[in-house]
Amino acid sequence: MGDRESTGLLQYHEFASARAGQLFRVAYLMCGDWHEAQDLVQTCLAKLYASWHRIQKSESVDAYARKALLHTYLSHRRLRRNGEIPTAEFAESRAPGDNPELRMVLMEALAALPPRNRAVMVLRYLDDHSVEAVAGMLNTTPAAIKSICNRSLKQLRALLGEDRELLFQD
Amino acid sequence: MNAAEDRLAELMEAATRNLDPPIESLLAEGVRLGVSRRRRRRAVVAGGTAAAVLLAAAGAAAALRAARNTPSEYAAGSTAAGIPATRAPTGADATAPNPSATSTASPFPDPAGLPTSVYGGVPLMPIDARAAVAILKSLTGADWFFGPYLPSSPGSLLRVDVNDGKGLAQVFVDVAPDAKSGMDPISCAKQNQALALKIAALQPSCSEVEYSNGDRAMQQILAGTGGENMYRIIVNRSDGVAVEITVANGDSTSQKTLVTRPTPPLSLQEWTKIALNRAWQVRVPKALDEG
Repeated sequence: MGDRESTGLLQYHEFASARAGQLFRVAYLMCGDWHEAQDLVQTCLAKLYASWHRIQKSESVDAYARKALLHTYLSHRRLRRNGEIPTAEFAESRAPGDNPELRMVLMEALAALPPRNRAVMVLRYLDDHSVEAVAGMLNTTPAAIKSICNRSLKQLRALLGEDRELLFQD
Repeated sequence: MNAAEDRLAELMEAATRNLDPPIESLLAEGVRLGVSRRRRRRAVVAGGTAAAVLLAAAGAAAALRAARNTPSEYAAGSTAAGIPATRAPTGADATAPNPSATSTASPFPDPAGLPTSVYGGVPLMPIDARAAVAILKSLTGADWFFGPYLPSSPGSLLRVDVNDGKGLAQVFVDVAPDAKSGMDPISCAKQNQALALKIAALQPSCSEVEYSNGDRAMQQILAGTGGENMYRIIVNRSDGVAVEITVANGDSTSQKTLVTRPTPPLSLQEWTKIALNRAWQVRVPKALDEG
């Protein structure tokens, strides 16, 4: 392996090590399943690895990673789309860590959103991307993203606001 | 952000703060899969595939330019000299498609024993949505209407609305060097496992087919409770190309037009033949992007 390739590999590992945790959190809230989230992150990291020398030069690696994660997630969702039941049901996805009840409540509410809307909400509010950035990832307009956010927020407030006084309150 | 947005951000942060995924194993698997992808990509670019297509670039471009986006104009162009339409047979096929039979009727013959160069040495480019539409038009009905499509669609090479005169349908197409590059594996057992949580809503059927030339296909029918029906075909071809085609009987992204016809156009077997067609390559003639 040449010097350039060694350096590239080292840089990839540095980036992947630093970002894998956050990518997993984003994936987990998007898909609601621990194992699927692992698959999504592995696929995203594989795409990054395969294109590392190119994406390093051309654009923000973070942006590329998010797009790769998002596109993989939406691609997986197409398979399940017809079976998606927008009710309180969600995949049993016990994950270690604190706050399991909060996590379950939140994920139950997120499961009521269509996959694309769910992805928008996670990218906006967990991953802290701007409306414009999310619009770019989804190849749509900022106005469309704002509309999705407004509708989804309203829906989440309705689901989380009434009985869960610890959560959404005016 | 307003107060509600701030609150949601706090909730998401709190709910995921202490997640402890196996980072090392994610990294290791990511590198392993990435090495695989890179090797396959290099093999394809170097022309290591064994398919050859008997088309002249000029003829191909002319025939495909003849296919338009409006019903009245989409006519015999796809049957003109250049690319004879690999017309999907009418009526459902009772048996699995026979690749040999397809090769004798198709301008894209079976790749076994043919020279390594794809598309006969014409200038090539990575397949994009426009080229995918051109190929799809040449493989489906001459009188089909094709709606607008995005240059790229989230999660797939192509997402396009089509209409065969019997109602709107939506087609998704993906082409990759190998099924392991991101598509689901050809395994009905794994599909059934994935769908197990929603088994009450779906009546899935799934079959795996292996052809004499080494091609493999997985054919699925998915049915939702609201009348949604979807055909999903994934093929792993012996020339190292994987193709995934999903066809829905409506616009699966909109609640208003979720179901616009009883079933998707054509049959599962006909779509499988389309997916197996060697016109689908990772690199295709630049001429397909013209017109």
